[in-house]
Amino acid sequence: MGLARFLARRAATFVPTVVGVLLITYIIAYSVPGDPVRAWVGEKLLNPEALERIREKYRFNAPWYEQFTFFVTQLLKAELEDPIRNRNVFDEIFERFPVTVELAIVGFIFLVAIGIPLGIIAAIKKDSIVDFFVRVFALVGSSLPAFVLYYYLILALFVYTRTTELAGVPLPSAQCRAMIASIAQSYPYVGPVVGAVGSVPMFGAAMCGEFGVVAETFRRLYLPGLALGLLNGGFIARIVRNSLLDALSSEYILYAKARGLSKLRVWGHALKNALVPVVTVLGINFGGLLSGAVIAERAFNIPGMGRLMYEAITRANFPVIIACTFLFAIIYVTVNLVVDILYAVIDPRIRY
Amino acid sequence: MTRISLYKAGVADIAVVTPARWKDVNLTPVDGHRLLLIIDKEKPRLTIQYVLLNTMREPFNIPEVRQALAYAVPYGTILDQIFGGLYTELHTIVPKGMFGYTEYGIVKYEFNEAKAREIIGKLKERGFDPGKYSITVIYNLGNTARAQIAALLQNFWTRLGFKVFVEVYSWPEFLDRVDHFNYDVALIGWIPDYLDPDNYLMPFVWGGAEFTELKYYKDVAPADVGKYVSKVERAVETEKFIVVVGPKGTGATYTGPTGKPIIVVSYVLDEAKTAKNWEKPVAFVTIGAAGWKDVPVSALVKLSRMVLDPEVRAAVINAAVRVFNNEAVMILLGQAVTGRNYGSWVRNMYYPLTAFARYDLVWETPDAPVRDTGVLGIKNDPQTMVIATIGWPDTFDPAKSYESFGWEIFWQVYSKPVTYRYEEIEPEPELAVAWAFSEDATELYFVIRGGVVAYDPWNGKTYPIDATDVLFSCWRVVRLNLPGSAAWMFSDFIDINASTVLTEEEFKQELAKGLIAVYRGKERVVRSLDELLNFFGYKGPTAGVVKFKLYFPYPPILHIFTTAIASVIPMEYALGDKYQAAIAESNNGKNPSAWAKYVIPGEDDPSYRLLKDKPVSTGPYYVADYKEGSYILLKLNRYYWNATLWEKLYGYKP
Repeated sequence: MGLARFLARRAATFVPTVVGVLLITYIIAYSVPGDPVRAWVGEKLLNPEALERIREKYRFNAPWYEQFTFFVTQLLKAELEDPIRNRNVFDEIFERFPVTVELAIVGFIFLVAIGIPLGIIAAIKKDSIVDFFVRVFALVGSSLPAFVLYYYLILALFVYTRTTELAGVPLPSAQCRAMIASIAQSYPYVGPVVGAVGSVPMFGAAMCGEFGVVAETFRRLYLPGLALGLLNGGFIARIVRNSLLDALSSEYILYAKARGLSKLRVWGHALKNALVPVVTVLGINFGGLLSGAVIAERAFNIPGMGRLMYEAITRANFPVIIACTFLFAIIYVTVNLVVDILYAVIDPRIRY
Repeated sequence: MTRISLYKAGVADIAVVTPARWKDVNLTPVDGHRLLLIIDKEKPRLTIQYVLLNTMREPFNIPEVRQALAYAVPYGTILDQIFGGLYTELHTIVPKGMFGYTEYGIVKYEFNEAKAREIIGKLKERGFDPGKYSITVIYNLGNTARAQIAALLQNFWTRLGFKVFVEVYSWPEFLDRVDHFNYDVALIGWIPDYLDPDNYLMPFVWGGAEFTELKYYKDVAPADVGKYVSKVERAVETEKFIVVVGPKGTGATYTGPTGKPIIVVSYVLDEAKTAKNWEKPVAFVTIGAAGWKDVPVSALVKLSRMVLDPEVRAAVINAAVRVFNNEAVMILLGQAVTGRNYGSWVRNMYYPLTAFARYDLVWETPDAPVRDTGVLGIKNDPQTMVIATIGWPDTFDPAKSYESFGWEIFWQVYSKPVTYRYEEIEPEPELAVAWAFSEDATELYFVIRGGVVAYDPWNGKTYPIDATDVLFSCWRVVRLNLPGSAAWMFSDFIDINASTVLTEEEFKQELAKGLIAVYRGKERVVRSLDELLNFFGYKGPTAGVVKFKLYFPYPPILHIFTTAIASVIPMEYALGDKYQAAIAESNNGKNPSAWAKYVIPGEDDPSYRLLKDKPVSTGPYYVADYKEGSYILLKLNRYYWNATLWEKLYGYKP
């Protein structure tokens, strides 16, 4: 099967997957007891007439499937509105998502920078004290409550040493943003791509040559990135270690050694073959980071998707929950697709 | 976590810190200064914490059971350990610091298990079996203080023989349960919207009863009580009066306390409306949150809303409060005290009771810490105030906002007709330079300050403000009637469509009949504009007069005009190119109902769509920038009508 057919087949599964995810999320939200509309309008005295109006608008007097259809239709027409802030849900998402993309990139860099070298070292130094520490690190990373790590990192690197900031998010200059917006509107094909990429503040700043903003972004986000890397890096290290050890015990490595290839080349062969499961896990992790790191975003005061979703859940904000889920579902299916394609790039034996 | 970190690092000058974290923060050194936590128990706040007992359910319909439960609450532990000293004891539903506060005849429920057991013991003699009842205490998820209180109640109430369970619910479900009386016992708190006991009496004490007639008679002889009521349902002794309540009629025989002047309150119950309220009761809306259906006390509550005589009003409120307390309808856990929490470099920080500090009146010492904020490259230096707080305003439109964060922003950004100076509790002129009432107090006149402009930072424009803008701003709140808004604060009391704008000539004609000006505790009948303005000590220009038509005389009406919903916005900004037509059709604000063509109810109204995201300014600050969930940047508004104040205070010209 060629890549084109593979892509077509996967694309065909996109729609049912996304709809399924939306339906399950909606049913869970719908099943939670309580009156969402009451939560939307706040805690003080009610105005029954206005309350009824909002109930009508969001189909709370209709059966659940009608309401679900309404939400999905509005979503697809890009007309679904956050009932609390009365903003189009996509406006909210487009405001938050670029920040999450930045955090995901920085977090991913730390994840890879911590996880892969540690995994390789642990494999090379198998059963040594180094290997032991990597395993302990993985165990601690997986079991440590995130907020504890965040708290101590903030205390050490913000409160005491001020190596980062905990407020705001660096943005490119107004001129830069205007220029990107203008390109996005002026050029039919390239423009929207430039606009989308440039909406991520660090990319936008880089496009305009405002590298100071890029540096500030790293300064702002390195701490949550490091925290995410520390929490998940151990797990990646374990995957790399085990996968590399599997590869090193393969016959082709024995053959390579027998042929007298240098140690470096042997390790290179082994590493490339060991990367397939690692890429899968990294892909899933990146997808997770793009869906917003809820606790990290709250702890480090980052106005991204994780916080948007958290706030939506606490106020039973169905439209925002649905819209965020829609985006997350698309991210996951896309990331999985990219991972599948990457398999073939990494391992030439894999063909579609 | 972030707030505390920003505060401890000196990035924030002021932070919202929950009591549980105060010990982590207090006295933290910052560049030779310290973070201060000062609890001022002498300055009570109006926030209360309480335990709702669902009086529509057994056994909470039995006053003695409620009293026993009230005695079996470890108040000391709750106040000192759980609330960290930030709350003080509270025994009456109208708390200390509020008009109508009384200690006369009030039972102070203190922790006394023996007394609680004694009461239950007496009930047992009458066949009451506490073991028959399962009591479920509910609270909202994430509120650790309430979780601890619930555990304490479970412990102590179980000792009385009840089966007690604790359940925690998400905020939406918790609200839903409280709204619809789907609970036994609920833990909640309350903050009033404006400075009046009505903000406690209607939400809690009122029993859902409506009346077609309510009257009072002062200084009635005991033998004459029967001339006004057919039956004495309640006779309550207050500090200065004895308040007697009963249905309108004749023939009642009074056998209650004597020795003080008697006020007789007679009522005619509106049975149809009352039955409707009780049919599907909604807490805080069709009945008080405790579901306590006491008709005579409801009559006192409703009467207290329209009595102008302060002595009678106080007595009526005291009577309602006393009955509510004596029958332990709710268990009151505590009243907040002032907790001052800011860096020692912050000066003149103050805490109004129902409003907020205005940050242009607060300053920092020249040696205040200097820190990068991380926001737009701004440094927090002595000229910049950084406040680390919780949440995010739902909207920037005062017509919808009904939460503290939003109202705090509006306090900085908009001027209202009246305001409070620092921590004072008497309304002071802001955009209204003077005011007066008609003799029956059903008409309120505001003389509007001249020379005021609103600043639109999004388009760099200014708009002149006059009486039409003031009326339009209030009218718009009622017209939009946005879900969850505080529109009721106008619509319950003001016939907004019958309100109107007057020219000064027209106002002079009204004045000629004699209007009553009330200011700083003084009252005077005024008959000319000069006399009125002199009474208020105002000499500057004016910009027309607004007459608000009230449904009934409502004593605290001025306090409502200090709140965020009375924020004055420029009509021209709100209506855009329709402004001129709207002005013409309303005959310059004489007929505000003509504006209905230009403002539609609900969230689809264009003016709401504009103002929810792009607020303008008639106050000391304007919103210069914001990023949702991250920061709001306020800058001093150089067009502020009182901008010279800063020059006087700081020698600073914006």
